[in-house]
Amino acid sequence: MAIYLLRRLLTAVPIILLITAVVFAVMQILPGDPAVMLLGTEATEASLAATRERLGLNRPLHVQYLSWLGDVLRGDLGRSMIDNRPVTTAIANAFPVTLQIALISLVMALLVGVPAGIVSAVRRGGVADAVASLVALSGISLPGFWAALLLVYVFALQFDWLPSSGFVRPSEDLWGSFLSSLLPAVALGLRPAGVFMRLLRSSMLDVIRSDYVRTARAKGVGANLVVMRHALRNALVPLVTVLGVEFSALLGNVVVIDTIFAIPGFGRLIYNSFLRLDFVMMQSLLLLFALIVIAVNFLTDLSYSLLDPRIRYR
Amino acid sequence: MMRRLPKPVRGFLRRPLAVLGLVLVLGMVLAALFAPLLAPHAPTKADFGAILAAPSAKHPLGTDELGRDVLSRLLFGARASLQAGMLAVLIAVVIGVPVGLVSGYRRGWVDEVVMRLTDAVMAFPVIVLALAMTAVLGASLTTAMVAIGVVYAPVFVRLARAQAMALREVEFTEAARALGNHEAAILVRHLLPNIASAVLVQASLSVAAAILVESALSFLGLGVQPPTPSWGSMLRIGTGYLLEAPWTSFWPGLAIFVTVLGINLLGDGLRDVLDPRDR
Repeated sequence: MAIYLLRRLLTAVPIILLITAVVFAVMQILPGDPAVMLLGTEATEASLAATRERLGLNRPLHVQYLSWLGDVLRGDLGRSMIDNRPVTTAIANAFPVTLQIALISLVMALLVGVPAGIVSAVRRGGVADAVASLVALSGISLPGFWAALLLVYVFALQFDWLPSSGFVRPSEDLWGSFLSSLLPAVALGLRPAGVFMRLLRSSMLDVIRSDYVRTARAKGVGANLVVMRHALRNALVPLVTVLGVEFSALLGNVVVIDTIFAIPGFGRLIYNSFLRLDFVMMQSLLLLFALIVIAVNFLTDLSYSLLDPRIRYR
Repeated sequence: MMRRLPKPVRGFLRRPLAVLGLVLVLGMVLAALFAPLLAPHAPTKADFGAILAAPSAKHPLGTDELGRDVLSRLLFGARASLQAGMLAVLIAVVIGVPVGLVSGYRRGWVDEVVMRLTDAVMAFPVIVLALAMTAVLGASLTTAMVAIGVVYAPVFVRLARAQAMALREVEFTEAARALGNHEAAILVRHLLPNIASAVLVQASLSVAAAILVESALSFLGLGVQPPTPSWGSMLRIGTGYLLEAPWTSFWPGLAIFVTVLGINLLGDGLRDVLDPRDR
């Protein structure tokens, strides 16, 4: 296991290096001149040249790349070109917000999707199955931003039960914070809920038809117990895989949801940095996104051996 | 009459949800094709006497902030969304399938490089990568389509690769090799037909996802540029009038939803019929 861990970490290194190269390359082909971005279009050629010198933009590309890589390894991501905040501070402010909303969203999606998938598989071909399947596919087909608008219209504008926008930090007001994350979390959770339901249905169907479940039934084990003990347990590995994928997808979808709800999260940070061509912020965020996805994939792989003793790592 | 149809077609027609999907998709395609005939008004014609007007006989779905007819814009908007979804996936298939086939058939270092590259592309959430590409190439429908196509290409690389790896060991491939066929000929004549149905199923489901991403990009102002109507950008504007004129955001959202649902139902039906291993 320890050797597997080590090998897995080592194979991640070239991927991460490749990603840093991709991110750096994207930054190079972006239109616009960072010096002009900083000083404005009125700046004289002399002061532009001085700024390029100060930022090291005159150095050969590979030197710039290596020096950036060195800074990143030391935990120095630079400062925003718009408001001069350290990038690490901006990320530290935004990340907990997104993490909170993402977790609430995925937990709700699991609470809805898993039981619905089980019911659907157990009552295969029945009315409950058909309805659940159509609802699940609807969840996957709903544009998140439209769902968000419908939720705001009903729960904030018509009934005034929940705030229509903004985010309350849990340190200020825990309950208020939960309420302020509820609508964005639901809007983000519709898709994963549908995905979980469909996955659980199909993987439970596989198990329910398998020989050992038939044996367990024949031995007189109650139907409910069979479903819970055997089928559900076997559905866990694919479920965890999909959970990782959905978490990554969710990190992309917060770009839209943050904009709608004016949430100071990750999505808004990345959207604003792209809109204003804040090069330093953009390259750090792109890298961070990729690293999070790789870390999630890694954790997913690790959890397999905990969930299914047949999966052993060598 | 049913009995004369090929078996997969009969299987498809026996699934009510798949048929519903086909009907929804056909409806949208027809709406897009015949938009000029069906639309009661010109999609970009402003009427400053009827700004944000509620649905009426003249404007069945109301008007937007410039007095333009929502129904007409919806019909023309179908063109942008369907075109974007299909072309983006076409780009992904054209890049992904050949690369995947060669990668899976050759194995070795080619395969290794291709797999690491797909890993790197897949490490970015779709919208974020599309956002980065729009920043590079400038916001337009073409950029959005290319970006989505590139982002989805790894899906088809993986699919084609897995099938090619399985098929290279099969007897008919070996026979073709023994007969002295060129590698390209084997790939095109023997492997490609065998993965066509898997690619078709994946492509149909990807079109649905691509339409969602395109509408999200247009919603962020990074896709179709005004005054060309598109569902995502209509929703973007409508967000500002949620209380006064909810119809300006409700209908474009419903159009996206119904289209994507239809394509997903169709894709599910195709998979059930063409690929019985999966459910």
